[in-house]
Amino acid sequence: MESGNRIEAAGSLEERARKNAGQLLSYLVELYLPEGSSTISEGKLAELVSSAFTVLGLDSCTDEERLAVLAEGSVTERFQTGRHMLDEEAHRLAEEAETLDGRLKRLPCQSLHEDLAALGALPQTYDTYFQAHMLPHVLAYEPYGYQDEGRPGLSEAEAWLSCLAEEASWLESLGRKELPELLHEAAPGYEEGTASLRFLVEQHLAWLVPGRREDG
Amino acid sequence: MRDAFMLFATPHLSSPLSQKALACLDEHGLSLSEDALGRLQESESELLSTYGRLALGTGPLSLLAEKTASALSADALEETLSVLEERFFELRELVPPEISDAEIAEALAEALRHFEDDGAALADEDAGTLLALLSDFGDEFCGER
Repeated sequence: MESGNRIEAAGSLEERARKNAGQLLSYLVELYLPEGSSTISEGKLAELVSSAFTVLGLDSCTDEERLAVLAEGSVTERFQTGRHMLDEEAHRLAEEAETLDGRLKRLPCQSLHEDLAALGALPQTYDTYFQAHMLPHVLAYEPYGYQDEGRPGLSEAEAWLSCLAEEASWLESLGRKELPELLHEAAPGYEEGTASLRFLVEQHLAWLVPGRREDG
Repeated sequence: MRDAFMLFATPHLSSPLSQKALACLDEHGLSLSEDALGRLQESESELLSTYGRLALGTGPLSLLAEKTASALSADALEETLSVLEERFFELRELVPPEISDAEIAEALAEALRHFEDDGAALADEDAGTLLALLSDFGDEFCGER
């Protein structure tokens, strides 16, 4: 009896989740597909659902957790709220990217500054409707300590910027105004490379690093 | 518990034809038996699976029946609808995504009239020839996917 009740409750949860998911999908289809669409490709559906899971904060959840969230209240309204939050997050990260770009401006490095410019444009390029799970840019520069772990959407940019902020502070802590010239001298052509600037300093200019400077 | 992704996959309708589509057919004195509807539903499911697509709302067959009702004849109605749906899925693969399913259905209705309501003639055309024919009905069909 008890297990029967449990099955009934689970069924009703799934029904509510399915209904809410269907409403959200209808909303997205209305926005995404041309009017009069009677089919959607499995690939496009997967893209829409992945994006919706990111917006709803369900990326790292289990199927059971997703089901519970989808079964509660208006999923479409929560999707809209989540979208606005991600839009705000994109603005915040863009500002952070612009600040870091200013701090690192004196150090020429093509991949770094291209990545920062792309992140600075996130409010315009990040698609919270259909591709919230993806960054609209492949990050080429690899700040010290950063590892691409395939985080969803803005999480990847946040992790990257966090590592870059630490790297920028570390570079600033060296207190060497002539660092660009020293780097250029030690590693000609580094400006077009993708290696981390900190890694480059540690590799070629270890004598600049406090505690690793050679005596005398 | 099924994959949460599957919650978004619209469950297929119990009938492949919506009430609106049935009413359109009825307006033109057309009807299908339960058996015929069952076969069309099975055929639609196979086509959806073959082309890796999912039905939205009332599905493509309803759309086709609504758009082509005036060009359909009582003779071989089931076969013609079946051919129309096969051609629909072929064309869906070939034309740009910004062309809606409704536009494809309308173009197929035009093509059916071009073949004087002969579904068999429509079935004989290969997809490329049909696409060339449809391009006469609208430039958008010339686009690349």
